[in-house]
Amino acid sequence: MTKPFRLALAVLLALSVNACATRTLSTTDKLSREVAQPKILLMPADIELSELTAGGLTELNAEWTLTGQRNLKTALNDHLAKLNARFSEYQTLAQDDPRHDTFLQLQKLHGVTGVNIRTYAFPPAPGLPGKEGKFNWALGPATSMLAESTDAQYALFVWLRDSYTSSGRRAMQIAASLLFGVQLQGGQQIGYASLVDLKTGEIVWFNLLARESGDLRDLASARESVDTLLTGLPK
Amino acid sequence: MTRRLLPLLLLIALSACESWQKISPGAVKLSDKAEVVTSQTWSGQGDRDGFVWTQDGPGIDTFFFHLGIKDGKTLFESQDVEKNHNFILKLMNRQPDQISFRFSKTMTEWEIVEFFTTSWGKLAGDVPVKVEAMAPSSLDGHPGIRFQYSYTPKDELRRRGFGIAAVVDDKLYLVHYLGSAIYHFDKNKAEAEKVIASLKIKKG
Repeated sequence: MTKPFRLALAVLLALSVNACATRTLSTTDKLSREVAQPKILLMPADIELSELTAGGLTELNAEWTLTGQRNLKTALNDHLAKLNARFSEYQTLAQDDPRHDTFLQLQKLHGVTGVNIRTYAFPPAPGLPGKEGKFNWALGPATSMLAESTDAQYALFVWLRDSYTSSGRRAMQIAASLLFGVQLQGGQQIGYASLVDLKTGEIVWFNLLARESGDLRDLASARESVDTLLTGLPK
Repeated sequence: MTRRLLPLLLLIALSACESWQKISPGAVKLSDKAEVVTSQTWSGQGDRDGFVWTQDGPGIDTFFFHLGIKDGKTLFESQDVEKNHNFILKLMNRQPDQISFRFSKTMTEWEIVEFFTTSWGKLAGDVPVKVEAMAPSSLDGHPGIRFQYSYTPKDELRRRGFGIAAVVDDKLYLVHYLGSAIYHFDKNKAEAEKVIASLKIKKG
């Protein structure tokens, strides 16, 4: 099999939009009750909003991303408040704080781990047989530093990429459909949320969102995305 | 999708179509000429470039076995720009705009490490791979070089790794393990050391 074909297949596997909007993997459906009401630390969401060009490439849009970040933050806070969850927002540390880099790397690790979970843990993707069917991904012991500074027991990480079809892409879609009967891919909303046990570093709940709808530039739509993304969040 | 994740997807793509096999604890025959022992369970696969093992996914932790790279060959076949040069351009007598970095049996140990870091950095999305330490070492008794390295690809997650390389019968044997600097490198380093120490190379 040629490398370009393998690449295309892998990217398709990684990015495939399933008929279901969300799919969940978890090791628990309830929060551990070592304290009366466990506290969740809401980490800053890692999000990017971009435009899908006529050629099928995504171009990051900084203004949309800023708007999306604001909307998502509001929607996440409101959703957790609605659930009566005990939570607090992560307060960004000064750059010279030795923990700043560690926490940043934890967020990056969550992003990369999510890509691997998405690629290998959801059927029909070829899984990792060494996992023996278990869902056991982790961010490691550095998560305990988050617990020490916030008295939280869990952290909620969110990663989202939202792309919107450009007018050029839309014209290409119409032309491809009329001339060749082919449906070209449009904008997508792909993301995942992970609940991490800060004592063990284990991801105890992971929800994947993959669909061709949603618009984080709009607050009402962002609320709907968050409601969908956090469906089944352990309480 | 973000371009920052492209190198990660490329790494995953390297192993996209060969199916992963379960590597159980015990002796593992990698090829007719190489065998190792592991005490942990891995997912592994092999192709013309060597063997890859991982526990949590090739973007997070990767154990790579390059076993017997011949004189004049690149670390990865996909990096042989002359061989992979478009045949129409070849007919037009147009040369590729890059030159492949190839292994030479006459390389010094430092040059072998440079061959590795340049090739791996290219695979990781044209990023610099920094050598943190080097020391004389051996692979199955054959004199070689041990090196530790780090790099940050475009996904911004720092990776750390270490490896040992030796030239046996004019061929390069290079085994290295890498993982996220914040977790996976330390998680599997001790086991990776044991696996590398167990490598048996059959000569001839």
